[in-house]
Amino acid sequence: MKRFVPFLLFSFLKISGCISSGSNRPDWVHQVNWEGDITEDAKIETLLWEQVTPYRSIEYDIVNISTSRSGNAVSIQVTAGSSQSPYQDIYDFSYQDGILVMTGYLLEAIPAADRIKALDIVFSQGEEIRQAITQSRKEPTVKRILPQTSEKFYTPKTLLSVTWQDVQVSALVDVDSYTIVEIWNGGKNT
Amino acid sequence: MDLGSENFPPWEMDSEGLYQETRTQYIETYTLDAAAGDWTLNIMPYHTSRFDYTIQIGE
Repeated sequence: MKRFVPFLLFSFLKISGCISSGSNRPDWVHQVNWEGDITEDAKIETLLWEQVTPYRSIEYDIVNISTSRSGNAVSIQVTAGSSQSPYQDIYDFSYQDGILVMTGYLLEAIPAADRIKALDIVFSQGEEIRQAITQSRKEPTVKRILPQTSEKFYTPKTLLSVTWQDVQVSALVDVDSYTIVEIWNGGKNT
Repeated sequence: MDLGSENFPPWEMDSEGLYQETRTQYIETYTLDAAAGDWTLNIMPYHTSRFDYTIQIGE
């Protein structure tokens, strides 16, 4: 019986969700697919979960990890989708000598409620933008800006960027304080 | 394909280094097994300031 106790304990923890499968895979990730030159790597995946983070209440239903090896370096692109948003999050990394560096991101997996809130902030406070977008013929994009980027313009926290690309207008928005942090209007920041 | 950098707000340029940095390039290769004949190729770049292409026929 004694030999079964550790097995039963592990099974209980596994079933109860205390131990996730994979490499410390967070509970907000439901399916992970690896493709490319590296079929799967637990160490890299553990490092990825330290930097890949969904927006607030979002959970990633599918995460695709695409890898491409060039010499000693590996380029990694993580594409994450959620049923809570029609848009995806994309992260780019470079991995070499055990170090993972994020080289770029495009994060649009944002719940509809927060997209609407960001637009409401812009419309209610951005008179300059309201005038500019009368000429726009396209829907605005709403992108998440990570704290490491935000701190260069405001403070290190998650912000949303609402942009009408065709008329060169954008607002950096703090949905928590319901404010426009900064406006970009054809290269003239205000 | 060169995505350029002048048309994006600074916080998006900064965050999307791989996508919008100056002189960022993407190279896409598409291969098609096709019968001999007349073919029409459409290239439709998006958010792109400059692009080049080559067509290679055969192996």
